[in-house]
Amino acid sequence: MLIGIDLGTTNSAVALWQGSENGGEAQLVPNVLGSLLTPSAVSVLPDGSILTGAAALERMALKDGATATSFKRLMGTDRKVRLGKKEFSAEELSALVLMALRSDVEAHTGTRPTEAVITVPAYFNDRQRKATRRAGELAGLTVRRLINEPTAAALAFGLQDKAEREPFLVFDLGGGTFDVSIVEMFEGIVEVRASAGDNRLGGDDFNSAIATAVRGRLDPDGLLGKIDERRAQALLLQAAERSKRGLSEAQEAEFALTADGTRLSTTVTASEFEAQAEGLIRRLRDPVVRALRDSQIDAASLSEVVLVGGATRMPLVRKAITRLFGRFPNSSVHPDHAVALGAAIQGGLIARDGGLEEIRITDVCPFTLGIETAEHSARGTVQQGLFSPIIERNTPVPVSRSGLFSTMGDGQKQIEVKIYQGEAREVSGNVHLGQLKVPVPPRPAGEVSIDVRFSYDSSGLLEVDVEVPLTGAKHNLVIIDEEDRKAASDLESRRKALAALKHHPREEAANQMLLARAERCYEEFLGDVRAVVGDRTRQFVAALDSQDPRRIADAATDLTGLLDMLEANPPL
Amino acid sequence: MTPTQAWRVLGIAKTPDVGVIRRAYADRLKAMDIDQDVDGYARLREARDAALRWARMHAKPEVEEEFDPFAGVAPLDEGESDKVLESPSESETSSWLYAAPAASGEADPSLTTRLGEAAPKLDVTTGFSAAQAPADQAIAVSRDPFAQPVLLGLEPTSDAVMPAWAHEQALHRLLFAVQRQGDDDDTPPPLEGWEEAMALGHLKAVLRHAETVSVTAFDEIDNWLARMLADSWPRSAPLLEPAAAVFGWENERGQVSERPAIAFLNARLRGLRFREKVQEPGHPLHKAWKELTTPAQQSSRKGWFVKRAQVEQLLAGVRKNFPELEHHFDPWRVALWDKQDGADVETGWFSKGRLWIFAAIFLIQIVRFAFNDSTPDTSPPPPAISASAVAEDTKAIGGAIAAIFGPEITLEGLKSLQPDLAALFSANRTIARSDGSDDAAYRAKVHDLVRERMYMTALVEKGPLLADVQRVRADLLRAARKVGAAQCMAYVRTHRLDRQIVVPDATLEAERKLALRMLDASQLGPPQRMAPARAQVPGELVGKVIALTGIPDERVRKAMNGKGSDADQCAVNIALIDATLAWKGKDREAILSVL
Repeated sequence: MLIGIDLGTTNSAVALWQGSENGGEAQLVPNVLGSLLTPSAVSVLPDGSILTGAAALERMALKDGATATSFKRLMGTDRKVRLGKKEFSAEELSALVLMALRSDVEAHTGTRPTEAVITVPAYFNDRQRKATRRAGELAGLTVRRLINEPTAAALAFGLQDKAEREPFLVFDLGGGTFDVSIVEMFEGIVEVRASAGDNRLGGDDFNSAIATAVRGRLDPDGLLGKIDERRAQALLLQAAERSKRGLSEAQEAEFALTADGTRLSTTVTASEFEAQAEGLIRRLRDPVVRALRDSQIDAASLSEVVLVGGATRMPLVRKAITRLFGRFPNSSVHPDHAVALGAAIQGGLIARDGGLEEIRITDVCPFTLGIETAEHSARGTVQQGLFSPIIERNTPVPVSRSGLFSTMGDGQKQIEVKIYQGEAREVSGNVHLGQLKVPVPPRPAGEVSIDVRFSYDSSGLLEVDVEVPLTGAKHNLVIIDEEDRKAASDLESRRKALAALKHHPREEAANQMLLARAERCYEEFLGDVRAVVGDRTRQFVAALDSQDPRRIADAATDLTGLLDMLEANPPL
Repeated sequence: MTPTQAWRVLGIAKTPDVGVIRRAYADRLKAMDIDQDVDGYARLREARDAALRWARMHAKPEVEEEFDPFAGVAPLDEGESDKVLESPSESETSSWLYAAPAASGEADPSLTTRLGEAAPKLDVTTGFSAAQAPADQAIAVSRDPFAQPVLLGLEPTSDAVMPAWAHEQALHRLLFAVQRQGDDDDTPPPLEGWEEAMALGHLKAVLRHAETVSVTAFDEIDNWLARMLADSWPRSAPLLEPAAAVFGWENERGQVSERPAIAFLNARLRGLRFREKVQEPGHPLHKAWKELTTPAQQSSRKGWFVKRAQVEQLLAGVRKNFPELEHHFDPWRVALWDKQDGADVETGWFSKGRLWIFAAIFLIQIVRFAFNDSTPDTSPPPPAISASAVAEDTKAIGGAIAAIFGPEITLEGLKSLQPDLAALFSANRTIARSDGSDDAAYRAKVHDLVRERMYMTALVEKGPLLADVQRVRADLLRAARKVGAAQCMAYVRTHRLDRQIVVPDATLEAERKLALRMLDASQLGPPQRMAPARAQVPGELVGKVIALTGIPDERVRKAMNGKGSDADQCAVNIALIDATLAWKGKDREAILSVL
């Protein structure tokens, strides 16, 4: 079975293409808690077992929380996240989330999915894409295709009414990444004209902005400074998220958190938030301008501006978008669901399901690809480490382009072709993808040239062919980076290691979530209240141990009622 | 791809119908596996694009209306709609329109009129034909209410009174005002205080406007402003920082796609930032910066507390990264610090020679002052100046002036014609008295100073004056050579004529006339700072020098690079001046100004 997965910074979702016999449409699969969105959070319990999703998120602000979130921002880097006694890479954490989604589908349909289409931000570079692909493999899924998030959203948007569309713009502001794609649809063709983005801009940054704005007046006595910084940050960001949601509906919202029995609270106004987020809002413009410039489309001739991503719910962001485009955006697709649905549609297309008319998607490569070169400067010195583009950004893929380069030294015996991806004029600012050495006959400088051909296919695979016209020798390199080469050998063992981790039984997720919540409340309050919470929690744990479903249900209802009451009316 | 080929690839007959073209493209695309046939896909795309281009060109006029950016777009807010409604009167529109695109290819003075943002859409027939007129006419608009600033530092006018395009034009006018007047000066002067205040005000309005318009308009303003700021550099310097902040120009730095104007401005921006930082006392190179920017006087010496390594680091860094900042330095001061050995061939012997001269002058001053300063306690108190001493001084000064300028000039006359030179004469007299040196020494000393001023002025003024001064100088060198090559080269290097040298009366007379002429023309002011220059000596001249001196080629070239014996160098110097004076080549002046 082929599933479509939106692996998000904050939330992930999984969807299925329901074949023609089931109505021929994409459908989201609810998780064990009945929710269509699963927080991209992983937590390690003190006993070493792994918890994912909402229950993990609940543990984030605990003393021994050991919870990771927003790890999508670390994809493609070597950074490790320490959870309890274990260390995880971003792709391993992503794999754990993917595994949870996979079991949700299995529980929902009774069939174990084996293949997936996973979405990535359009502006993910090659390394980040490869890490995502590996995450899928680690989760035991064959990744049939990585598809760009805005492209997936465009697919979902376009199939709503199957209408012809003049170029429209997908504005995808997620939890941690920002993408802009300009897409055109006609005659069953979905053509992406240009994509641009900012890998480091998303809803998380707005949370940080709120937290920064209020921290001073929220906590004049420096109480938060006394507790663990990681925990203080977690409390602040969670409170900021709540305020942000509040500000989407009202002109002001409460910013409140409880730490060690002390309740801190203040009010945030919309205008204050706006002032604090001004820099972030300004950063929204740049990718939009770039995408329009690259596709040579006037903002006025866009037929729609389609909003995707949870962060586009903020009135602040909507206002900015309205100003940018001189019109109101289109919010007809569900900002959190569209990407996963699009991924499922893509899955249906790959499976050539009869319920789908043939749709062809043509995409672009959003980054410039080229090689490192050196040149003689006007002053007679040799400037090294320069980037010579071969495939310009936003070229439709698949594409094959070549460039001619020649030797710089007399009697040079080989040319080292180093391949880079990025927009910087000096290769040091770009992502190194690979390299190959090409032996050439020794001749005076400039007399030997090589023809470097880049072939970039629609799944994002880059192949480099180098020909030496003088000798007719040909060399070929399929870009697989270090990590990949290593991974090929130990992917299997890593997968086994991940699978061997003690995963919390899926059916216990609700109980785990309740326990985590109780634990959080226990840490928040002091004195009598804390004692009551502790007491009820012990009763609940005892019920769990008894394995008597009725007793468990009763204790859960009890505990939930208490926690709801406490959270609604925090005792001061 | 030609249109004919395009239609063949698409498999349809020539048509302006976009729908047909798309359908044909879609059918062909679905029939192929693009990953297997990359070239075929590229060809198909190309054909589609060519066909669409052709179709757009041959589209019927009504199709155009579909793309009217204003059709169906509701005004955003009240402010916006106000602007749209607020159509300038007929006459007003035309007077502004004359300024729209600039004829010379420089930045457009106004942008919004073309975009139709604030003003109503232009009547293409009347608006743009008028706009072909040269931009200069815009300046001549007599009813321009902004030509005269009302109050210094006041923001020009509120948006309500002044639409965006007027701000754009006002800004353009401020930045290009000077070039318009046809000034000979190549580098426009910086904005004056009130101009800067006005320009910043207009810029603020333009930026505010940019932030409220759609991205496409924003992009256009971005491009327009970048080009204008780059074209009007360095006048636009104070505007750079705020504009760059709004348009995020620095994010573009070092990118493959960095626009040329942005690349230029980003480099300037870094220079400005560096200057700002280095002016703070905490900066590691602050002392070096202060040292190099302090104007050097006759009596200046290197700062005591500045490390040589830091000055060199600053100089090298500025020259490499921010060459535009070097004009902040005092060239005399730089000369003090610049390396003295001529190892670097690139700089050429001319400039090196001159820097060396400065260095030598100051070295002499340093030695003397250092001595005076460091021994205040042991030296006898300066004698009280008696009336007779004053009379004696006046006589000595008068004598020197008469010797240099001729008897018609007195100290009083000199004071009125060139007060600072008169002060220099007096000061040197005081020094001479405290030194105990005689009148002749004093006279020689001030004569040297005047000669130096004549020379420096001539280098700046160029033209016939330069030739005259160099002619006299060649004669002086000839006279010096009679005493010895060492004395000749000492004069070249230090501008000090050895007292053993007997200058022929004819030369003295010519020099006197020249000095008088320059004094009358107020050309004997303090030497202007000037950057070291260099010139290329053509082979023809080298040949002449060889012929004149009888020194072989190799030694002549060596001498020109400041090497070889003093005798060679002296002879080559004189011969080169003579040969250049007699020569009519195009670089004559350039060579004369580095000799």
